[in-house]
Amino acid sequence: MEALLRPFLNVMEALLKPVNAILQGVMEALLKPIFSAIEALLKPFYDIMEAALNPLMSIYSMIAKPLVGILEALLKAAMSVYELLLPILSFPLQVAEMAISLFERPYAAVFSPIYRPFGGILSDHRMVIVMGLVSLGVCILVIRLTHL
Amino acid sequence: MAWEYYLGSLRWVHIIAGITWIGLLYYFNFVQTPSFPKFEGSSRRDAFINLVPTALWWFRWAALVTMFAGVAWILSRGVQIGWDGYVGSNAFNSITIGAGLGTIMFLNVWLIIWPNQKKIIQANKDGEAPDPAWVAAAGQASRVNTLLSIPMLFFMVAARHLAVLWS
Repeated sequence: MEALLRPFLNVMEALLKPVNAILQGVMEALLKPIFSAIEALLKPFYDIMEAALNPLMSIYSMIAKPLVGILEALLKAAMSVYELLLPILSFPLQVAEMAISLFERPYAAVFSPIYRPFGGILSDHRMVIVMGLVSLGVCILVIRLTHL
Repeated sequence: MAWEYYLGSLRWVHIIAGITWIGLLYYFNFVQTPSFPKFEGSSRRDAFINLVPTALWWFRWAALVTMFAGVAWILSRGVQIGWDGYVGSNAFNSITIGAGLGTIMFLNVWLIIWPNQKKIIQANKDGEAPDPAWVAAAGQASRVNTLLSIPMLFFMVAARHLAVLWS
């Protein structure tokens, strides 16, 4: 599959390389100062919140202490049920895993050519969020345009 | 009445499993991936052997439960109100886009992320360096899923709460 698509992939990669570089540059130049500015703006607010919440937390922990024992006992009981169920579930889960693993190779052959050209964009987590928001915007725009 | 309880239960299972799945996806992308390179070699290996398999267990099975509960919900809803009325409705349009994106994400989990992570965990257990190609493939699929989760969650919520999108 990848061998078949290689010429197309090479063209895509060559086209996307400068786009990647521009987007990374834009992100470094625009988004980084925005993230840092937001962080700096929020810092005093966080400090005030923390100072205000500290005494409240001490009161809360005094009230919560007797409840913790009961909750712990309940959780222990739930965990025992879970541990009892695990060995029973183990065999069907293994069968399911084996069945699904049959599709690994054909799917990987499709996945990697599709996403490989976008490697640069998809290497940065902040860019992934920006691209997610952009793709959402495109979806909404297409829906609005086709349903006007 | 029974239908409503049945569909409500399915939706509840779908949402709980979905939160577990996407919560762990965000943990992998926003917490684990940026933090692990800062760990010392032995600590990172320990984390790969003791922490990552548990996180991946919940991650992949939560993805499966989310998928099954979601598909069962759509099929049941179609049977409940009749396919003629359901297909083409605002809710159906939104949910099928969300479900389509969710299906790609589910396949990425089970057929790209998990098989590669299995090899990475095994390499760490054997005290060997994992092949960078495995790390790259798993990382890329994981980031693709993070990207897709943004429109996917929008359309899932829009199915119930944003009918105006299609008006």
